[in-house]
Amino acid sequence: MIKPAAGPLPVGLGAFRGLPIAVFLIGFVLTAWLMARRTRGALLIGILGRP
Amino acid sequence: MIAIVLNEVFAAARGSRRRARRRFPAAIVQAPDLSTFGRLDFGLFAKLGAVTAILVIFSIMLSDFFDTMGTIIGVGGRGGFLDQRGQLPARQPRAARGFARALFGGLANSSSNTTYIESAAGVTEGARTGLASVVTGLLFLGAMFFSPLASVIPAQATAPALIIVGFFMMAIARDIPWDDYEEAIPAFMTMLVMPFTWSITNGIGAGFVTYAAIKLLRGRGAQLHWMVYVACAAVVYFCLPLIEGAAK
Repeated sequence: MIKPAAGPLPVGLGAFRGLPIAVFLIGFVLTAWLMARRTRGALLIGILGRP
Repeated sequence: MIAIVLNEVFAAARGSRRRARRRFPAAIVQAPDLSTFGRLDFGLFAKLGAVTAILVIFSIMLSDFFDTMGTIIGVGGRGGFLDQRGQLPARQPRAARGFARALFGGLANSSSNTTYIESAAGVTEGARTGLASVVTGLLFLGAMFFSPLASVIPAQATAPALIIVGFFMMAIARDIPWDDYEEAIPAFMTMLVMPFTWSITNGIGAGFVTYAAIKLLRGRGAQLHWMVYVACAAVVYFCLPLIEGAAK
């Protein structure tokens, strides 16, 4: 989500390309998967990225 | 770790390894800078005048207040501490402790030591007592000396955790009485305004004003605590410049 510099909408979708988005998506899927498995420390593992 | 490895791989693939290496700190351990601790400056009153200075302080206080109350209720709900009315039991003065922290944060010249929504991460992992806060505090104390290392972790690595925390906090929305419009509409306004304005304060302010307005229009204004009216008046006062700006 981004704040567009112009336009009527207060928020909008950012560009889905580039390394930061790839890192975010991998981290999000990893964290969500660990949460769904009810793994203890899933959030920390998701940040540190060592399952 | 994933973020750092990917950064290195992508940077190497682009042939800009030297630029990527600059992201790693030169030293891992660094003494914290405490030079601003206790350096109080009351020049604000001389520069802005007493009335404006008090209004500025009040606006910061209001922001802190709404942030703290919103976070306490949200985290309390996630931890299962709320009663049937969705309120925290009054046996412990949590809000007073939060405000005391903000006061001492100002003394340290740091950003306000208010209650942060990131606390929900600890509650999600099972924290239920003050021991968790003590452990967190000790870890932060140690982290002060490893700030260069912490700066390596990019925002995109921590963003997924915050989204998951937001997901868990959303769960308490099921307790909103959606058939009772007097309660549900202000709650909806709160949830709507927060993301659209990127501010917890704005969202809670909108909820306060909507709640009071609906109560007044239904002739039930006497049910509200007088502090609600004071908070609403402050919210409206600080929203006036925005409304006037939008009207131009």
